[in-house]
Amino acid sequence: MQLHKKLNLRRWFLLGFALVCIALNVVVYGLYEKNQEIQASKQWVNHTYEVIGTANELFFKIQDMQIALRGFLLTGDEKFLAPYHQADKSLDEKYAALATLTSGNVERQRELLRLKSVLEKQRGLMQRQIELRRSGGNFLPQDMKDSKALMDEIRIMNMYIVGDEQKLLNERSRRETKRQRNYMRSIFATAGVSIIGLLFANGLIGFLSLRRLDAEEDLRRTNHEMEGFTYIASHDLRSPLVNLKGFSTEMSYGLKELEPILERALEHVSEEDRKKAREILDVDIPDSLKYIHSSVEKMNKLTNGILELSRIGKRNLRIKPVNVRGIVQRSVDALQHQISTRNIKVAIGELPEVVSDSLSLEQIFGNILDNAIKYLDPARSGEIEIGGIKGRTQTTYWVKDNGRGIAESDVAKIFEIYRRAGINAHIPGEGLGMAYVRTTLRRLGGRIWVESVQGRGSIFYFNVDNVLKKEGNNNA
Amino acid sequence: MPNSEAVMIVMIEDDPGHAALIQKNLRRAGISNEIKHIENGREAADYLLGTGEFAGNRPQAPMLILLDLNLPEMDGFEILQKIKGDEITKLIPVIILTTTDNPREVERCYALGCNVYVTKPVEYDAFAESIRKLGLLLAVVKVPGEIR
Repeated sequence: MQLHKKLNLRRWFLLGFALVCIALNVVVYGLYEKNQEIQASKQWVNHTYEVIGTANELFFKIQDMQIALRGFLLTGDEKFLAPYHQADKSLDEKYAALATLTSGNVERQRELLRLKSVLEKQRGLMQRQIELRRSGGNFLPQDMKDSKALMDEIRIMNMYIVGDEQKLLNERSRRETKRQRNYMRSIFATAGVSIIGLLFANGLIGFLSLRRLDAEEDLRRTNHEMEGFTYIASHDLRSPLVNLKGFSTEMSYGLKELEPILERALEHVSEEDRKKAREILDVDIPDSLKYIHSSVEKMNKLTNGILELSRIGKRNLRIKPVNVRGIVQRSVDALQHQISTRNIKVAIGELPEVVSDSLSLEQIFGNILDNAIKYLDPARSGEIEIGGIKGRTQTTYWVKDNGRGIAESDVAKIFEIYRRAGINAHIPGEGLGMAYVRTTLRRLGGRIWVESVQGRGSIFYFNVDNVLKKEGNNNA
Repeated sequence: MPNSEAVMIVMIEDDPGHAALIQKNLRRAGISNEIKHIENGREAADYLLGTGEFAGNRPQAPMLILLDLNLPEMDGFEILQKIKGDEITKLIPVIILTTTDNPREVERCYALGCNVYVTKPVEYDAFAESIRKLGLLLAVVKVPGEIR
């Protein structure tokens, strides 16, 4: 129920996050579009300014020409005509520029054509006046009047074009301002959506880490329960064993006391009955009791084994620099009797120091060495090598022997509680050593593995943290 | 020894088999005192402290308690705590007799004020030997309230 709720919550979180991501994309795309529009609109505004500028320039040119012409007509001095020629030359150019700039505006094109014809008329009139003056003639008042009328027409047309463009400009500016306002709004919206997205992400991360903590807590609790369970189970199993052992022993006591009494009574029964009774008294009952005894014995050992394993997790580790060489030397010394009687060669190589629990390491080496000696091949003289190498975070140690080796199918079995590999009936052991080693190593941050060739020997490797961390709230 | 015959042994033990084996071996060791067997933890506490169904009826005779730890309704630790927290019963010697040899539980019992801690070995010879020695101890031990 709880888990189901959590899953649902998680689904909602993910959905929300996805929606926020999509929204963010849409908004950012909109922002990009807006930006494009504003760029285009800015260009249009610039364009309008350019049109107005060019139109005015065109008007100034023709004005320049008129002023220059007047000077010449009054004085007859050709030098007055210099600005006239200059303006005349660029007049077409300006007109062409204006036509190009407004090529998209059909109405403007029409206006420009009208302007062009008026301009040409004015130009023709001006040219005629110049020629007349040059040929010594006086200027005609009618020409002056016509010229003024044309000029007025040009001015009005120019004013109209500029005015119209100005209107367009105002319109465009207004639109641009609006767009810019929209753009700002979009930016704020994006920021808002981003913040919502961040909040969601934050929530999601918080939620996920909460779940991780939950899972860790669950694991810790399970581990704790498991330890408690094995402890209680193995402990409570002892209680009935006491009874089994006690009462079966009491039974054999009783039988012993009963024997002389029965002995006397048996003299008074038939030969057949006597034989039968003796069979029961001497064989059947003692046999049954023997099996009960041995089974209880075995069960006691098994429960003690479990009890011992469950205690590994509870023992307090004392973390300090460990002289591994000293530990190995002590373990070898403890086995000295077997080593010298069986003439085993033991070579101790490099053994790096670690910061760990000394007692655990001593038990690990003790168990592995004990096994190495136990499972040597009697057909050849035993050789055992011990070494180690320090890595970046962990140190690996090994114990190599030339013993009987382990069949590949048995390799996984040897680390399990109560399982022993190969033919071992004649070799004492309860199948606890390697299970003990494996469980102990887990607390030291390491593991154990083996390389073995049957009939040639085995190398047991194990690694431990170079510097073991304090377990804190983790009692696994 | 004649005086200690008046001492009652209260055996609080939920397993009838264990109770029978303990009793048998105490008798073998020559202990002839009255042995009162109680199987339930709560009942034992009520009996000793004169509460519940034993209200106003505290046992008067000098006594000695054999206490198991794993008991129904109220465990041995709690009983021990109650006995040692009571002005009258705190004087009664308490011998913990249990299958556990966990150092932590041993420590906890002594911290709560038990007088002796004995484990029941699974191996019967050892079990019988432990109870016999306990019997020898009981034969010489002096209990408060014995001689008035």
